[in-house]
Amino acid sequence: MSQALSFANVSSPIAWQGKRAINRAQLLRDIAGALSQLPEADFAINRCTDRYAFLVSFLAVALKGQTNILPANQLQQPLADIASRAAGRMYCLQAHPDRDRHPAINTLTLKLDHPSSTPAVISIAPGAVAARVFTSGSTGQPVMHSKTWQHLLAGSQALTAGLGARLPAGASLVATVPPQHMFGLETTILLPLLQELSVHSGRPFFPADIRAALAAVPAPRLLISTPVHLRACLEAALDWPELAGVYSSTGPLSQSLAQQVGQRLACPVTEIYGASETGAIAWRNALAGDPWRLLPGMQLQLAKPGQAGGVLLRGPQLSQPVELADQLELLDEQRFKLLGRSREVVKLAGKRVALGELNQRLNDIEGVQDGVFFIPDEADEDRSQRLLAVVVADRISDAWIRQQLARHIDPVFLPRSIVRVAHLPRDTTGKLPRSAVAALLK
Amino acid sequence: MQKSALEQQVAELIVSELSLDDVSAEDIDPEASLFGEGEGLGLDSIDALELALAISREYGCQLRADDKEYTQIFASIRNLSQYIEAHRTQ
Repeated sequence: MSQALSFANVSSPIAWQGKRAINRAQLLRDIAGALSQLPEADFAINRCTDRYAFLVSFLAVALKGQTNILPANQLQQPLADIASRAAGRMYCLQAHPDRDRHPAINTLTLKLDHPSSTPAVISIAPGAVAARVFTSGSTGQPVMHSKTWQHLLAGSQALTAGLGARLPAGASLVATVPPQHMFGLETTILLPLLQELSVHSGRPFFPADIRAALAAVPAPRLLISTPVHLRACLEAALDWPELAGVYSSTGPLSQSLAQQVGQRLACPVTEIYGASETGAIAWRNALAGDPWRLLPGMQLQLAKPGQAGGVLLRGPQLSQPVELADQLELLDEQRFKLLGRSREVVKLAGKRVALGELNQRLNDIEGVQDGVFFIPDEADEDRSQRLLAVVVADRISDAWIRQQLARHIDPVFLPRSIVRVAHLPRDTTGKLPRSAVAALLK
Repeated sequence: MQKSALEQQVAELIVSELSLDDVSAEDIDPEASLFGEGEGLGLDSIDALELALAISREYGCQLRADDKEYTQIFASIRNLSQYIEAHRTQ
């Protein structure tokens, strides 16, 4: 049986459009108003950029028994590509109906100024597939994952329980991550449905936009972001409103960047670990560089007992165990260290090291703004391939970088050459496809 | 295509700041799009953040996209220059 989602206090705000508060009673009327505008279909490609419009339409689509398809990258994944990945009748919700039309897909913009006088009841079948999300992979082709309503709720409940006091009651969230991304969906859409939290409806991009969004909402304020945006905020000459916390995900946050952010914004910095397949699964205090803490109700188990590395995850948000793409060192039942991506293990002279660890060490060096190790292509597979490092840094020498790396890593893994660049071609979520680095080196 | 003095400066800033070695500032069409694949300069969102920092240093104005997408105020050298002209403090 589906149990309706109920709010303890319908007059508490759930969203901020500019400085205007939208309470939960209004949300329920807006959902009812949106429901009457949705066409009959199987799928709704939900490209709403305004976070409140996304929240309303996400729930209306699920209530109508349809599935939200959430494109990870708004601009780079055209409708034609999405349409080829799902069989069924579909339409597209977006703010600008004229952008990226597709002959077979009807595009519509919901009118949010048509609230119904009768509030909607958020009663969605637990097993209904409420969303399909894409892995924004550096692995090439995007892969789609189905999320049932009960699994989405279970994942966010675990996140709430794990973070505890790090999510202060009544906090306002400002996020640079899109709601279509699993991290953004869990933190900025599902958490406010489960807890007394409200979310700014914008998706601020420039540091000055982020600052303005934070200033528009009441304290306690939380910033939900990525290493890329946090670095930009740090370098902008701006005064920041009082913050209760910063959350970072989607890519490794080096301890040195975390500490600078913590100092500048004078608040705790929490890093979340997760993936599109699993949602958030662990968190850590990024200032201290602590080990990761698994969220309550989730379990990790070595895929091959007695052999470090590949790990299976079980949890209330999953219908079956998922093998994680990363290598983990399990410290006890609740804590682990991240060793790096399994597919990115470097083997040289009989020694192995995770590329992720090398990158972490490189980025931990003071004066390195960004950096990545690169394994050059070799025609002869038997020949040892020496590594290359691509680095953004203007004030330090190559010798100093090697010297700092040599304190932590085996000499065989030291970069043979260090290439200086002005910046690395990371995407908004901080990911850096190997092909992009290769293109940079050509 | 004729560029104003500011547009020329902004073009030079983009080329130097983003190390576009194979592009000459003189050759950039002030109305060509800066973003998107296969057209114009093909800049991405990280370039936009870098450029925003450089513009704040150079002209004393913080770029704001407000409710628009950043690709709109940044659409071309001409748009960007108009934004700077309206907001610069130095």
